[in-house]
Amino acid sequence: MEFTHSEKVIRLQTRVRAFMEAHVYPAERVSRPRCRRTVARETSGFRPT
Amino acid sequence: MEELKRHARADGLWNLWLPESEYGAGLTNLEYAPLCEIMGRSVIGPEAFNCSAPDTGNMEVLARYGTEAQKREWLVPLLEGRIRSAFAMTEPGVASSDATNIESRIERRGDEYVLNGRKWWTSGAGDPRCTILIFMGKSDPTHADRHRRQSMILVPRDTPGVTVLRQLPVFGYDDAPHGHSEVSFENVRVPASNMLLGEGRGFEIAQGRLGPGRIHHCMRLIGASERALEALCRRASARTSFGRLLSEQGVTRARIADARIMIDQVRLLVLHAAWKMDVAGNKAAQNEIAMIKVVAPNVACQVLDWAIQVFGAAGVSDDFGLAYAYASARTLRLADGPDEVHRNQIAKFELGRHAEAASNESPAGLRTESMPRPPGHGA
Repeated sequence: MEFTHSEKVIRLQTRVRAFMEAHVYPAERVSRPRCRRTVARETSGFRPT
Repeated sequence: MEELKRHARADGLWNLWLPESEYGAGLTNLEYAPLCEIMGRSVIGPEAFNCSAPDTGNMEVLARYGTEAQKREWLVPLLEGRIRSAFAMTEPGVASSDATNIESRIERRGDEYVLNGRKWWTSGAGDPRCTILIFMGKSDPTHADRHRRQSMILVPRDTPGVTVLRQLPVFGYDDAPHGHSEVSFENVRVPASNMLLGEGRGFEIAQGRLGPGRIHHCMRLIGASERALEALCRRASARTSFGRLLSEQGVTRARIADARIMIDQVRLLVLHAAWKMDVAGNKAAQNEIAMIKVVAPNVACQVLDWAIQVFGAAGVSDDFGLAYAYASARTLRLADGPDEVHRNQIAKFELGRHAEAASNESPAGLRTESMPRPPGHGA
């Protein structure tokens, strides 16, 4: 599907696409940090792991 | 992620999402759509560009409705990507798709407000970088207008009484590090100056926040759908079963064709909604936003499901990202309003367009002049 965009958008598209290829896709498999440690209340029945 | 953000910011690919503002890149929604689509191809893409939920919605709230002091304290560090934020609206005790059901309380006590309630699906509250929450609760539960009973107020994450009880998994994914938290608020005291816009204006803020937030989700979903279709085609062109490539089998081709048609339909609808937001405002575009909020997650789920099917059992593993993308897309049939709520709004709008004509109908049925007659059946 082809659309006519302004020069500004075309340039940004090219740069965002290049950034995704260079940085984002390669980083997808890097393990991410864990969530903030949860605090369980005794009544919740939830046990943090 | 912080390294990705540093790169993106240095490259000037930062805060592209905020239209008509001194803080953003000055792009219209229509201009931002093709960029957001590219970012949405990866679940980690939007955050790298500081264009991810819930921060964009929360920044929009602060930019539109925040005082200068609130902007200095919270909007600036959010725009710089130094902190993250959460939006505490949904509650476990009530059907929160109808926001008038929200039961959490915001009560004025002198120069402070005291907050009490239980929230869940507070996305982002589990992130160690999360510093500020926007909390929605009832400040005037008996107001005659049920849309004036709610307020929104800023709550620093480390305020005493704010307790993250647990992280809610989405189909088993914890969405670390930001997570989706169940949070209790017990006698949480915040300065009166933390109130956003004013008491009783919570619904008004919600409408202003959710429109842009919804279309951003839809833009990203187009990217996720496109990537799934690409993966499907590549896999189908490389794998053989029963003596033929999967891509040569009729059922695969039909799905590829349907996926292309569906994705392009969604893109056109999203661009139309973006255009209408730009030229007529978010409120005027609410019906178009409702339409895309129904169709974009459903199409993404369908295309991802077809891609998973072509990948076989590998598709439901974590090796190809399809399962996680599916879980994310499926969540968006609920987040920011379930399909049913949006369909109801679309139907109400459509029925409203015909209400006057309907009132003129004869009890026996349609007026004869309202229906075209086929050739040869003239009166």
